[in-house]
Amino acid sequence: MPAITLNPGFVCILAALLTLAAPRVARAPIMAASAVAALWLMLDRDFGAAAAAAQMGVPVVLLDLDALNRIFGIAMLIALIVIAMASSARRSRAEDTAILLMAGGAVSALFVGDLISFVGAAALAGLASAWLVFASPLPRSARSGVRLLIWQGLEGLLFLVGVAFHLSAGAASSIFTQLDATSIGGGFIFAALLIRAGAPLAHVWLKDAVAHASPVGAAALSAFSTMLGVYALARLYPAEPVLIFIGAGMIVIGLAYAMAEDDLRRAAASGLTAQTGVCVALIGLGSPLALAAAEGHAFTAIFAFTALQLTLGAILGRRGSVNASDIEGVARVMPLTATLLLAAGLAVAGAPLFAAYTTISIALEALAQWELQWAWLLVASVPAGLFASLCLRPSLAAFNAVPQRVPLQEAPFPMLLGSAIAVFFCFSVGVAPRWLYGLLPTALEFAPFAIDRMAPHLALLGATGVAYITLRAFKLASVEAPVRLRDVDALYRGPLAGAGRWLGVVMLRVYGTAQALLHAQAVSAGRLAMRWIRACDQPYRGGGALQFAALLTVTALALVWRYL
Amino acid sequence: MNAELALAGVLGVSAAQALLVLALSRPPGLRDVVHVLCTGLVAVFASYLVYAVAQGETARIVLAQPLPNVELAFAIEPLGTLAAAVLAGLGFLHAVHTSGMVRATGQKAPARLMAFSALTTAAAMAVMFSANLFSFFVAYQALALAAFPLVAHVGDDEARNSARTFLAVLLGASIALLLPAMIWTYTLAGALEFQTGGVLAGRVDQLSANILLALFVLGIAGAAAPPMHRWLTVSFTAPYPSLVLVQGLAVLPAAGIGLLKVFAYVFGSALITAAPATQILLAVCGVTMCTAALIALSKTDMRERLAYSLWAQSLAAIVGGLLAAPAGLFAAALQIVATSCAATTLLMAVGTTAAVTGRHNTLDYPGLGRVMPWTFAGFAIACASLIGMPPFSGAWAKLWLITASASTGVIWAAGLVGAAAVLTFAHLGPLAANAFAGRAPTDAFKRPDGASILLVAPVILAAAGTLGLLVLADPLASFLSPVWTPR
Amino acid sequence: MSLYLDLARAHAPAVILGMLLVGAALALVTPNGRASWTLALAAAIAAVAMAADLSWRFLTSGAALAPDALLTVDGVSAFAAPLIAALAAFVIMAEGAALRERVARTQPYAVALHLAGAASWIGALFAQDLVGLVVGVNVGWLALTGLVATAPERGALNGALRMLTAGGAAAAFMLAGIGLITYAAGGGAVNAAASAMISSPQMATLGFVLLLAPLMLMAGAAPLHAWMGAAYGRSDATLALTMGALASLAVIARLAAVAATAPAVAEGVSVVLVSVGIASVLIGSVQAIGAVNVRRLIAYAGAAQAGCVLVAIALESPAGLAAALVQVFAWGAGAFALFAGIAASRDAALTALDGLGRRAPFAGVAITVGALSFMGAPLTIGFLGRWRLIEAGVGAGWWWATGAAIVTSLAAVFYGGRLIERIYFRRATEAAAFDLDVWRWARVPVLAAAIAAIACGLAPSLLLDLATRASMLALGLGA
Repeated sequence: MPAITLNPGFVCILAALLTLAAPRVARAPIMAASAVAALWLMLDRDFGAAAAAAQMGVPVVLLDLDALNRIFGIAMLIALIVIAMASSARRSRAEDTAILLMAGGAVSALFVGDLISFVGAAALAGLASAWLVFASPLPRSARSGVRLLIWQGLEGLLFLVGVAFHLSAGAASSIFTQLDATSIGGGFIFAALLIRAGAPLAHVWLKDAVAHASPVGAAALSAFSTMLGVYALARLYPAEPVLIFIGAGMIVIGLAYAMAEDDLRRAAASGLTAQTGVCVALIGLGSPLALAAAEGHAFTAIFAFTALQLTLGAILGRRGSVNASDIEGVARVMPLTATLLLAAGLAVAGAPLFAAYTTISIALEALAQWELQWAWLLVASVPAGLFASLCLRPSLAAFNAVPQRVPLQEAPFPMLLGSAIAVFFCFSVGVAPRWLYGLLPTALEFAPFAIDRMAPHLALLGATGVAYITLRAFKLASVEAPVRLRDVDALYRGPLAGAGRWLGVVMLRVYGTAQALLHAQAVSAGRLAMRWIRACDQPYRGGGALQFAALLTVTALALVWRYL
Repeated sequence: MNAELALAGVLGVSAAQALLVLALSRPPGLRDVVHVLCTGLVAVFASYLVYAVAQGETARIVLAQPLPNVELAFAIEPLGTLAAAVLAGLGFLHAVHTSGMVRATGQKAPARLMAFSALTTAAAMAVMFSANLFSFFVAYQALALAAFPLVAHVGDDEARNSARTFLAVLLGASIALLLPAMIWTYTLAGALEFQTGGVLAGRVDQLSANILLALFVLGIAGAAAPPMHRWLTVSFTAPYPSLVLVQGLAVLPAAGIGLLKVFAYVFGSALITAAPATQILLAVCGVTMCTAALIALSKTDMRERLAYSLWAQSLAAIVGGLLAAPAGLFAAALQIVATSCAATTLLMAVGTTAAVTGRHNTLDYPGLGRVMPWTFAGFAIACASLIGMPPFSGAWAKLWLITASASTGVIWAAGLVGAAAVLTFAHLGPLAANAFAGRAPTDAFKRPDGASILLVAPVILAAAGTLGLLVLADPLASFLSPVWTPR
Repeated sequence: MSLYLDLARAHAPAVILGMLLVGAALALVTPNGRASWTLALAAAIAAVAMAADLSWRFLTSGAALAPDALLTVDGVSAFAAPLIAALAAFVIMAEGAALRERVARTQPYAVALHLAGAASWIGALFAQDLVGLVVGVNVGWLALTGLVATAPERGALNGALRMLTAGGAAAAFMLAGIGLITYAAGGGAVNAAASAMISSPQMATLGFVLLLAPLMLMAGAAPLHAWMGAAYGRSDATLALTMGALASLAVIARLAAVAATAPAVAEGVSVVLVSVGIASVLIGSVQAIGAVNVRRLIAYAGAAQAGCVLVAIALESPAGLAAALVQVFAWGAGAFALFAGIAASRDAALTALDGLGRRAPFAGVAITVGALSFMGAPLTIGFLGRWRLIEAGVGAGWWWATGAAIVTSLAAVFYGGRLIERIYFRRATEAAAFDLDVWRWARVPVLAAAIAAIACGLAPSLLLDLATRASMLALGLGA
């Protein structure tokens, strides 16, 4: 290949290999530098595809830049810079490498132009995310890593099968086009992407992984994993009607678990599922405004949730747990962190002056245009629900007064810095959204701060807050307790796994018995045959009668042959 | 250096290596150096031949002419040359690994082991470069005979029984089924030469084509089509260095390539006329592929598990070849090459682990990856390739297998390949993951200084080779295209 | 000088017989065993030279004998006679190693019997009429019986008795057969049936069956081979017995070629040959797998080989007959390699072969090569024989021919593999009984020749060509 066009994600992958050998002090700068270099590579290019190389007779496009993946790329790469900053707070070579590989794989997948490369890069990112969970220092993270590996493996295989069926329709069709979810190939790829995005029934892996990852790892997972699925859905299945319902399901499930979860990181992951559900529903809607809304919302969600996870992780790192029931009075010990917690909660919930508000207002506008009232109501309730569960709940607990004095023990500075920068970014985009609107594929003239938009939103948030505090004051809200919530994975980890094990044992017994029986019969048959054969070597037995009989038979045969 | 010299070198150096290793068996260092250098030389020759084929050169060496129109001849063509180059390169790494293993385990009669390894390699190269069915038959029988002492090397009763089964199945099938098929082909076509487009194309009626196909597929028992697979499932008693050869580097892949050559050069377009037999064989191989992967799940001895796993992979290659389409042939070739890379890495890693820690039971593997990170990194990469996880090379082979099945209309075969991939993941994935995830055992090492570089470096390099296929996949496609389209 | 040579050539068969018989007589009267052995060897070698010259001239340039020659030559005998003569020479050469085990008085008799037997069998091949053929066959059989009877081991007497009884019955049947054929074909010449109008085909068929069945017994085809176990197992005349078996197969080929050209009897003869052949393959293979005495093992293996040859002959086509001739050659080479090789171990039990590869490497190589040839390993002459048989069978649509070849090969893999395993992969269980007898080396040329013959498989074009010509001539299809 004479002029090698470097996909920006490859820079991060190469940096991951460097990180394996780099000393501790160099790792964070390498991560940040790779993100900056990738950004520069991306922004330096014009829109358009690089020359198609050929892979096994199928055209492969390693770099195809347009507005859709540029916006996702900017978000992910800036998130990588933030995470790089936070990662210098702890030493973990494996985690740093895994984060870079995951980011590199995800960013590469964003920018390639054909299915085969996309599958490779996405699978790489998936494997790296499993490695990330493996490298986590929390207890029982290994088993969670194995579970994540199973999900990623399943997704990779579904991708493979889907691309294979898609290719069987014709070699040129590996380049990105709109796919049909009802064809075999398209259906498999659709299923794989739904797993990645966290559709209902497959929404459990994100919660599980985030709950067992390290603080920085959880942030990385939030930023790089599900959003790749959102991008791919936007690229390959825009205006696919079933996505509206899937998105609605994700919103419902995400909100329910966000409100009920005790582990705040799990709750944040469920919140991410809810926000992703908004994006997915908008992609299902398919109008230009809706697609633009989806992309913008994904952009803002990446930063908001990165900030939230970093902050929660900081508390986890200092206190050992970040359950809502354990977080009482954290503001005394870690005032800055608690403030950032509040700010991140507002960012996630989409309060006005934060970025998520600007994009969710476009979303509501898009939904209103299509007269889908139920969807509009659902999406409108997302900020309210998240405000209550991810902003009010932790902040009220954190800022609760505790009787005794406790020494000040703030989170490590790099984590605070990273979180603060992310929050600040959300705030600045929220205050001046024109920059964001300019990045969107559709040219947008939108005024999010128009009073007829902002007022209902503020009213909704306010009402939610008042209702929540009232319920808490009258002890009608549920008490924070370290409950373990059950989800779909309880089904397949419990009864299904047990049934599978039972079936396996039964099959093994049957197989073993059959083998033993066959073996015994073969041995006895062999012994019988050998005994009979050895009896044939009898040189001193008279053979006269046999010979005579043979002679007679042969003679008779020769004579009567022509009559047979 | 010209192509004929390289071809003679590839075939002759291995044979000479056997004698040299036996003659120079003391001191041990000299023996190992000779072994490694000769395999390296073979690898150099084989890669030169790849270059020669890419330039469009031909070369042919005739050793004897037993019958009119039938010669014992060797020639270079894309399919065999590619496989030979890959296997020769891996063989070099394996030779280094063998030197390490015989020291680490105190293997008895190492010179004999290395000599027969060299002979097996020579026979495998002869199979790859065979120019006609007769040469393939001779080389295939030589391969079975040369690998027999490898399986019986340990010398106890179990090994001897396995070796007898090994030889009985391979030789018996070749005499009972392959020989009549070969002679029948000779009477139909008048010659046994491998021709692009198939020497039987247009010369065989449907019934004969069906029976011939069954005879060939079952007769080349080394490709492990059921019920001729018994040799593979009993051969796991061999010592580790020979296990690599038998399952990963010589017998299984050479027989697989031989079967592909039969499909491509003997049947060619006549494969489509063998219609009911191809479908039946596809169904049998496909279902057995899934069953083998399932059985592997129940085995706790690592060598047994890998034997069944590799059996499933070999069956996938046969499925690709039976699809009677160029895409299927390409997929099958890619599958064999990728499987041998992954199999070699896996078996070497398992051998290293057994030599250094004495563990070869899957229940003892969790946590070993933390004390032997490099070895198990190679192990994990090879597992991923074998499973068919993108972006490792095995994934592209599976991709093309499914694509070829779907495009020829045999969707259920594509489904079976996918199911086999899932089952392979079930018996290899958690194993590799838990090796890293589990708690590190405290009493792992038998030897205080751990694994020597001779044991670990080949594993890593072979794993890198698995990754390298990713980059090389496209040149491979154009390299292999003369197999189904005459130049 | 050349005049005498031409005269000798014109009457070549008689000259060959004369050489052998005169050599036998001279050997008989020479009192010293070694001297008579030397004489016999010289006579045998001269006979081989003469026979090879006859064969070459007849097959390649179609030279004919003098019209008043005492004996006649046809395709099969031209191919087989030098083979039998060469085998006889090798037998005598190998006998030199075992001579001192016999009682000194019987040594000249043994040598003379060898030559006489060879002469009779060759005479049967060259006989002009059926009576001569039968006389030759039976005298040869008697010579072999004598050799078995005079073997050093007493247990051989049982085998000799069986051979005598069988020979008596054989003579009776064969004479009856001659009578029937002469009546039906109206003439007593060997090829009378080919040219005559056969009035009663049933009688002619019966006659041929009665003629062929004893010959099949002498060739060792199962289930007519009850004499083989005792004769081979205890005597050391194994090489001579093999020579006799091959010669009887050549005679069968000759008669079958005649029958093939007579439509009235062709089918019946073919059926007989095929049925006995298939039975022989199956029974012989099974017995070889189960044998514990290594000489009997090779004998039963020979029965299986004989079965294949019979099936090939039964095809009654040029390709089939050529395949039969090649297989006869291959069997001879293989059996000689095996028997001469195992003569290096004293005991006839299978366990005595353990570790022979170290004790007597050359013999070990010979046994391995012989076993490979029986297995039909590629690049040996045995493989070629099987190939030709399968090719001829497939060409005629005879799937049982293919099956017979495959069964023989598979069984040979079994018992041949066992032999090779014992020789190379086991440690010797008995002390190496190396005798310092220099006459042991007399076996070496035999072994070398056998190995070389098997290695013909690498460049067999000459042999194949000669066999094809011989079969064409025998079937009367011209050169």
